[in-house]
Amino acid sequence: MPSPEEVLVRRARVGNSDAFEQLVLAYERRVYNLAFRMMGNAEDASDVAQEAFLRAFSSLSRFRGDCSFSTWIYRIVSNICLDELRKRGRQRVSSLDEPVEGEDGEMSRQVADPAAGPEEVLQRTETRDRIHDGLASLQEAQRVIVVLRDIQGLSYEEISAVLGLSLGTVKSRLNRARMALKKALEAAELLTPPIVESSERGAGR
Amino acid sequence: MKCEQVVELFSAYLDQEATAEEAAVVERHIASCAACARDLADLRRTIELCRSVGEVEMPEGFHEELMRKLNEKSAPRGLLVRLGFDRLRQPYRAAVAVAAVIVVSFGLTTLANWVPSMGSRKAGTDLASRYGARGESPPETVMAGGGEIPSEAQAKMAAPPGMGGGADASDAAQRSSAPQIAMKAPAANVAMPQPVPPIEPDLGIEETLDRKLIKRADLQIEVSKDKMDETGRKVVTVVEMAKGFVQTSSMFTDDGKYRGLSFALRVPEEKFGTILGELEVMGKVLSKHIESEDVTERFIDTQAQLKNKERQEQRLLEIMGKANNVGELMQVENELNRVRSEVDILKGRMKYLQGATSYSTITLTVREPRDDTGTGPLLPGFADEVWRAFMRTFKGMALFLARIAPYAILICVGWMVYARMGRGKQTGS
Repeated sequence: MPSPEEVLVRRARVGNSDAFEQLVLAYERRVYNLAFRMMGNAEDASDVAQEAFLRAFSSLSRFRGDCSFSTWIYRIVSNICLDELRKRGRQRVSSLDEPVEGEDGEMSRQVADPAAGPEEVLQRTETRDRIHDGLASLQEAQRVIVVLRDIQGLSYEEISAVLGLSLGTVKSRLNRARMALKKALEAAELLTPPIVESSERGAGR
Repeated sequence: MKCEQVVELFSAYLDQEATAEEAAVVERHIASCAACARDLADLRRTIELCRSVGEVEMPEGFHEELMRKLNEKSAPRGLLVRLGFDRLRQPYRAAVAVAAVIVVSFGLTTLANWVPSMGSRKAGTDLASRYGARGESPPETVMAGGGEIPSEAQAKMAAPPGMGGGADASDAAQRSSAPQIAMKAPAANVAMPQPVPPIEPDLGIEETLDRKLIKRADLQIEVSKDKMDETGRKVVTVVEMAKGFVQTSSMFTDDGKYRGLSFALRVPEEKFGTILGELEVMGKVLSKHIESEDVTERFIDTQAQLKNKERQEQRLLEIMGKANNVGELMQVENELNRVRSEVDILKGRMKYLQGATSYSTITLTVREPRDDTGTGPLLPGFADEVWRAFMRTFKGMALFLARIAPYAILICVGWMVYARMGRGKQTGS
């Protein structure tokens, strides 16, 4: 018994554009969000996410259904992101020091919570911005894995399928990426400041 | 274990993806190493913070823009564009399209005519083999209630009845049941089965020595198209003349092309053979199957049971007369009811057996000849010829289109893949 999604994929594959739109509706948010975290700004994210769907649409016939559609579309979008970022090389669009273009609008819209007071909103927004910057400071390969795991909530198996890595690599790379993020967040004073770290660490070794 | 080795496990530990051993290592270590414990706490906090950022909204119009791009992308079809089709002006485009359709259909029709002709030739040989190796003579299957058929009768049946062999065939049919009688009742020296008189429930045993046979025949004949209706009427007349009746009659079409009639006829058992013969001469016999089931034993058993039950009923009636009180009376009456319902069932069974044995069933199928070129009279006139040719071609075309539709879809999909890949290469390079 094929799942509703398999049915959609099958229909989309034979050129049913309604079916493909259903798939777009189901995944565009996640795809856009992954692109946003990877690219660091809304404009690039938008371009990348659209490019991902266009590529998915044109190569749908090559999608053999040996993984789920979500894995497949995640794979496409993360590949595009990584390619694009590699192309741009060191000249990254977002960095720790400079606030990212067009990002404020995106962020504040998301946290418009009627229950929260303006100050709280501001603080939360600030925190989110700083986390976002922290993510942006990671290497691409590390960033993608943290985003897939901690923002998109994928399992280790799914991540290994999306990125084409072994489970062991996923584990170790995720660990390293999180450690790097931890360092970035420490620097951004989001974690409790380290007190007597160096001496104790030395003793532990 | 050293701190950096333990730190390697933190992430999996927090995700509960670490093995039990690894988890134990981590827990043991952080119990003794404050720095690592704090690191772990920080890492947990990092993950929590990361999770807290949640999703952002997509920019306004994202979906619409994407769908617009997708539609643009799916609109142009590679082949036509490459052939310059899109550069043609509108009326020419339609003309080219129509011409293409005609050319393709013509090709397909030629193919279609070629392919089914092979099919029908095969069917023809099938028919020939089905109708027996002895030339025209249809096979005769005779199943006679487990009894063996004497070789003489067998030889008679095997004799080719030929085209006008209706009488022979019916003779054989009758003989097929005759051995049964000869075997079980040597005294009843008959060529034709004796008509069985209606049996009363209290029939004597000696009278039931006559075999009770349920006879069935399945006959298929072929008559030319124009004689179809006439044959139908003739069948009804023949059956009614013999005091039989038509149980069901229906008309059907084979392959949406060949008309046919199908009858279930009930005829008096003694006329079974004669009627079968009369039906056979109405057309060319395609197949014939005669079957008789010996139900003598069932008949006698049922009869005996019925007798017993009726005797029981009689006795119960007597007992009822002697009943002393209401309790006894009720008891006897209950018993009586039970016996009576059993009597009813047995009577019903007797009735069925009588009906089935005194009226034989003939299933008759009348068909048109399969091939138009055969017995059908030629349609006069050139116009008819043209019309028929047209219709035949049209039918062939429709059939063939239906047949190739799945392939066409496959080819289309294949083409789409090819076109995509081609375009992918273009944009890629």
